[in-house]
Amino acid sequence: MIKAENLTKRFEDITAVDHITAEIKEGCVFGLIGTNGSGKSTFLRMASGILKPDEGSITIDGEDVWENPKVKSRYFYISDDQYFFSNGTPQELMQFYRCMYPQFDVKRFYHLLESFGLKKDRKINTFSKGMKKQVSVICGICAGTDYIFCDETFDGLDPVMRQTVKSLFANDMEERNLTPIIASHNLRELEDICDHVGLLHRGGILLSRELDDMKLNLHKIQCVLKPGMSPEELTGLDIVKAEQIGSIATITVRGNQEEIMAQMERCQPIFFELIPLSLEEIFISETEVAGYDIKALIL
Amino acid sequence: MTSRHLYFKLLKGDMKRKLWAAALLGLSLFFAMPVALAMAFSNIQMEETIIWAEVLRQRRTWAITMLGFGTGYPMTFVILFVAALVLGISTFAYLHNKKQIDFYHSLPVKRELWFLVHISTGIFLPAVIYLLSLAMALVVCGVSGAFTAALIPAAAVGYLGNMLFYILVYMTMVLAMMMTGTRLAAILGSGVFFLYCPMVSGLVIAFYEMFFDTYYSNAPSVWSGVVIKISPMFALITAMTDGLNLWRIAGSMGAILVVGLLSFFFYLKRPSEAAGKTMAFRKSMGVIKVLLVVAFGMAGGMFFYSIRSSLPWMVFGVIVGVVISHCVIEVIYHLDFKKLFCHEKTMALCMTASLAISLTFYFDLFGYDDYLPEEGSVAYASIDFGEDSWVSYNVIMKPSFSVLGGRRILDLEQLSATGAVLDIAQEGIRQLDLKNPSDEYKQWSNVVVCYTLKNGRRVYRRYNMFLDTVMAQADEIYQNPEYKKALYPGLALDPEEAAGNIAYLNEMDQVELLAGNQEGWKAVAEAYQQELMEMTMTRREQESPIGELLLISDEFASRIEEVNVERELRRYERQYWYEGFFYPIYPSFTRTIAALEDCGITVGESLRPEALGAVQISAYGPFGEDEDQEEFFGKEYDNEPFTITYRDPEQIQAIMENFSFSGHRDKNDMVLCSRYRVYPIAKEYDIAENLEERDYYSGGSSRGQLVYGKVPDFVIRDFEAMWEEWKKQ
Repeated sequence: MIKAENLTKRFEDITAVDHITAEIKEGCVFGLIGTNGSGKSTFLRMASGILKPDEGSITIDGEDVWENPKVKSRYFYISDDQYFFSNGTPQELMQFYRCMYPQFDVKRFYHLLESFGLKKDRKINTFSKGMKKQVSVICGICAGTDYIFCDETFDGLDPVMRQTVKSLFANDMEERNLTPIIASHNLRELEDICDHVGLLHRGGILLSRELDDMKLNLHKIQCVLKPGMSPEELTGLDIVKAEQIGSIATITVRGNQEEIMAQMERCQPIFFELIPLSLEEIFISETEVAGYDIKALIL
Repeated sequence: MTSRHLYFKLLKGDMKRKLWAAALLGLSLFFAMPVALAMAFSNIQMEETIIWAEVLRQRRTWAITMLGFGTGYPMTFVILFVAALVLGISTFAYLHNKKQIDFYHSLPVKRELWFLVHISTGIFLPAVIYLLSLAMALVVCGVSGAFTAALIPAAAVGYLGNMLFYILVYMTMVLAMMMTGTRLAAILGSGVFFLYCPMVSGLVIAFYEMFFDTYYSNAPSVWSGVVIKISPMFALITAMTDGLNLWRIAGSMGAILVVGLLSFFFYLKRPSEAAGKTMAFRKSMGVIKVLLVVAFGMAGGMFFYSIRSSLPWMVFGVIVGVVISHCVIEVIYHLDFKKLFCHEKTMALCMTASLAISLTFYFDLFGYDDYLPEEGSVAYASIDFGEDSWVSYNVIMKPSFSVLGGRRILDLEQLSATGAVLDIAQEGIRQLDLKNPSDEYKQWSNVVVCYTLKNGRRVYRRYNMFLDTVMAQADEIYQNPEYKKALYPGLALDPEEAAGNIAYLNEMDQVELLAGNQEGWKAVAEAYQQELMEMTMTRREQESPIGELLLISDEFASRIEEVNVERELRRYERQYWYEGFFYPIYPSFTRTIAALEDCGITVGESLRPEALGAVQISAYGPFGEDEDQEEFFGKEYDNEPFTITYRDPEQIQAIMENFSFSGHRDKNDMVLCSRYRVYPIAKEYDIAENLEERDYYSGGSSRGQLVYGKVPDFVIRDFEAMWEEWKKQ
């Protein structure tokens, strides 16, 4: 488990990460969401042992990450703009990583390279941005580490490749309990992969919750109420947000799905249905509750 | 995987990635060593086609020069120097790049290991390539017949010496990389490491020399002894020019260790986020800036003062130096031209410091020139009158290096009776502001005193002064037997030993060997030692030497011969090394002159009045009442002296009695001479035919001047009359 306690990092007079406390459990996909400059990359760079925290600590299973090769060999870091040796080929890159990651799966590396249509002896600097990301992901997956830190990794991958990578992650999670930590500013990108989400804003963490918990506890009702009736009159519901356009009302409600259905039936609207919330909507609701205008933060 | 195993794997990979540097270095050294050697050998063969043995000898000499260590063939080190800078930058370039630093520092490798790997790459790569080039050069030597037993140790010293200083330069560049965040800043930083201390040292010494009249530049000081040496460039240049010795090797290795440890420390402390910033450590920025700006301010002040020699210009220079350097540094620090005038408080602080230091020197606020210690605080003192800088204390020291001679007596002799030294110093201080036109013809002395205070501190002062007013004190010191023996090593010589090497240098600058036997030569040596011991400074002001006597120990004589053989000196060059052992013979040294006479030497033979057929005197006007009239200055006679020839034996006698011979004046320059130049002309010279046409300066006769204040009346009258005649024309 990765544990950040009171984690703080300042760059001169800017506080990039401000007293963050969070836990990332093994075997799940942790999505780190936030706008540009919210501290996602800084958090990941501290988690990777690149930056030394000014305050607080970040540990993996109780061991400090900073200058600890044993702990560092348990994760693979893919930065938003990964460095490759000039004139280096994927094969040379693999040989370099092999020195440091003893579990590196060479067979799988070659297999994945082939599957992705990448030549092992072609110079990486002749690859496109997306192809370079693929090489990084392949190296990361084949390194055989417990964790993989991805900083905006999906940015630049085409939808097919994105799905492929996601399925690779899913496969490794299942097979060897890989824990991907993915930082992104794009909520939609993480929606179908994340189990747990942490929302960063201005260096601080706004919330860190299980996505299922949020989804199970938050629902959107679309209904047509009886003439003269307003959403506020729907008693017994924990309404987070309500909007009405003409006769159609859209209400975001917190609570158990069955109880909400039962309550709605008791209120006898002309029509109602529960529709699934997107991750974006969940965040909007959750953060607005916390007093933030999420649209200004993310969208 | 063990760290050791990983180290070698990472090192191999890193070296592979530096193949471009290896190729460039290999190519440069290939042309600079084996190819250059082969070309040099080829040139020698073309020039010396006749004598094969000479060709081989020259080739062997060249091979040792080119493959050895030193300035004989600096190309190898120049290439290694550039390689040190390039590799120093490239091996740690990733520290200055965010992408690369994220890559390297996220990997499960300790920073210590990364440091070791990159440092090793920068050392092993050139070491291997240089060794290969050397091997190829040795093969060329072997094929060309230039391979000798002496070549291997010379090449080994060359290899180790060049590599030692390569590592020093490389580590310095690495340290600059550690402390900065951009390559430009690193290059500028390395320039600071290479040059700052010597330049600041030079600047401070220049301030001392410019503003303190009594500063003695050869005095050991923290600036000339310590600060100037805190630079790889100083170590490198000293070793290249003066050769390698154990101290220099140990010093350089120590410097490598210190710089290496500092680099390692900074590498561990260096934040990854420093990549792309000018300076890696915020705290160092202010300190470095202040050190640079204050020095630039002082340099600006010195620059303008040296041009205009006035206080306002010096202040202007300081202000300009501070403002410009501060602005440039701020722009470099922030990589933003808009930050030109930020940190104005620091700028004001630097300006205050620069001005304070400069004005302290200008006004001599600490009384440097007026320094005179309390007699009670002085343990002992030494003094050098600067009149005997010709003396050699060591065969390998060139006697013409007068300052070294001066230093030597300061170190050798310690006078416990410090009163006379303090009196002379006090007079020197008094004369600092003396501007008396009547002193124009006086001979000043460059006096250096050294006080060793009771607290162990040594203080040096130098006075350009006239000794007339303190001649009694000067005589007291000069006649101190211990002082004189220390001043003239020839006086401490056993006469028996001195006699074995004795020789005479005549007024025609020819060495003559003494006739007779050891007894006679010993008598000469004893007479001379006694008379030189009795010589006073007062008498030195009146007499010029008329001959010189060689007084040298067996050890030094044989050493000079060794030096002569070692350096393959030609005949005229050999005599040069003896110059500091030829002692002056004064006209008043009658016993010495008589003893030499017994050995077949007539001292000053060609200057005796009875040997002369005529004496020609020339002098520039004006004369008589017009002497001080400015209206005559710059007239025609300035280029053409007035000349009178005297043939009357009585007049010749009167002239030669007051004649100061210039041929040996380098051994005593204290005699005060008039403007009347004297050309004694031997009887055998065909006066009637050649006298009017002779060249005053190369007529073959010895020449000199009439002693100041002792010009015979008839000479003065004759020149005044000639002057009056000239005015009528």
